[in-house]
Amino acid sequence: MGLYRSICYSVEDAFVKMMTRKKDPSMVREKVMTYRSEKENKKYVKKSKNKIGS
Amino acid sequence: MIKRIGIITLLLSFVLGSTIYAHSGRTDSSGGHNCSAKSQAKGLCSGYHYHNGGTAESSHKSNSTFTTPTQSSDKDCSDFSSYEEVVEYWNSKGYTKENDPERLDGWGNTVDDGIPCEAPSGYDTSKINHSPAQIAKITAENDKATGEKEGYSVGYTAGYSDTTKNTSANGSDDYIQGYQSGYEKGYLEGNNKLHADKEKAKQTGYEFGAKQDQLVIPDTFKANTSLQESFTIGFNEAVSERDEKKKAEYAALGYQDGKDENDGRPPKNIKDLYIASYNEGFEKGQSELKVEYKKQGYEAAFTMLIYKKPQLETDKYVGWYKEGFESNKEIKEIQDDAYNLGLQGEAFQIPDKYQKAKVIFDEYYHLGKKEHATKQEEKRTTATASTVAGMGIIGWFARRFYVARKMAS
Repeated sequence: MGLYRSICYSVEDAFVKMMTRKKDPSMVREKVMTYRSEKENKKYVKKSKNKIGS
Repeated sequence: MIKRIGIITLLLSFVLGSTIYAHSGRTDSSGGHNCSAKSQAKGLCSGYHYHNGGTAESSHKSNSTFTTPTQSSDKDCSDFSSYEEVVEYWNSKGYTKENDPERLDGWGNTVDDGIPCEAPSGYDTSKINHSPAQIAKITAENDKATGEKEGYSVGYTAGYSDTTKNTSANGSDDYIQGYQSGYEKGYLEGNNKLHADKEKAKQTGYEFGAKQDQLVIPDTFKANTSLQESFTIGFNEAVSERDEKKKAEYAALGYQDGKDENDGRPPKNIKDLYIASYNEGFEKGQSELKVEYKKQGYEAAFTMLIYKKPQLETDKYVGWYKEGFESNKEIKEIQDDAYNLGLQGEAFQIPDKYQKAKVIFDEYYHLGKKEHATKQEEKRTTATASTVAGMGIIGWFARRFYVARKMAS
């Protein structure tokens, strides 16, 4: 799944880069990282709940 | 005076009468004289000429052998109106140069030229009895006749033998001329006779040959090689014709036996060449029979998907039938065309040229059609899979775009 996620991230990075040409790259990177961290956390919580539930 | 002259003239003419030649006029000391106008008019002589060699001696001699005419009707040359008359008289009397009592040829000479009076220039003296020209002419005629007779005999023999012409001969010119003429005539007749006899020999040989096979030359033709050959040619011709006729008969018999599947054994006690003809005919009959069964098998191949053994009289026929069945290479072409037609998904339609192979065409068309359906199904499956995959990829990219947009906002 790591490879798939890397490919997804690479494609998403390319799109982000394309859409934020005139914006500050560090800020954009911050946003991306924040978004992905939230997603990871949510996913982690969901997995944990599923494990406890089962 | 006149009487004296007359008497003297009479005496002189009496004394010297024998010196007068065939025509009137005495000779001079050289034995000649001038032709009188009377003799010239009759064409007996012309100008000065000699008699008996024209010498004084002969003149003297003639004087010394003077004889008086033996007959009161003694003629001299001036008594004739033309030289033809002289010759006629001479010939009628049977005179010759030795028998010249009237001294028409010379004056009392026992030997002269044998020509009475004076023959006109260019006159054919051979008309004169016993003249040298006549003797020469008769001799020539006799030589020629002898030559002709002998040449004819030799020529006839040569012509009948059909040998090369050879007209050479020895003898006088007249003999050779007669010989050659007779030889040519004899050769031609001999050769014609030979050809006629050869034709007859050939015909006889032909008649013999029509009855028997053994060549026996009759004694009649044994004497001549050409006749023997002609007889043999006629004989062989008839034998050959008879053989050809018999060969045709035996060939037909063999052919029928071959067609009827008889044992193929020729009649006994016949010539080897007849046996060969019979065998040839038999082989031909068998060959045609084989062709017939092979054709049946060949045609059957159009109506069968697989070989089925036919109900035939003998295994040999079955073998030929099968051979014909397997030799049909058209079937493969029909199968391929029908299969391809079905494979292409075309509607079922038998071409005219394949109507006789309807069963085969139908079978292979449907085989092709089935294959066509399978391929179509495979194509459809592949297309669906491709569409799904494409849509998945697009969806994935759309999701990535959506996420990126969210992160970028």
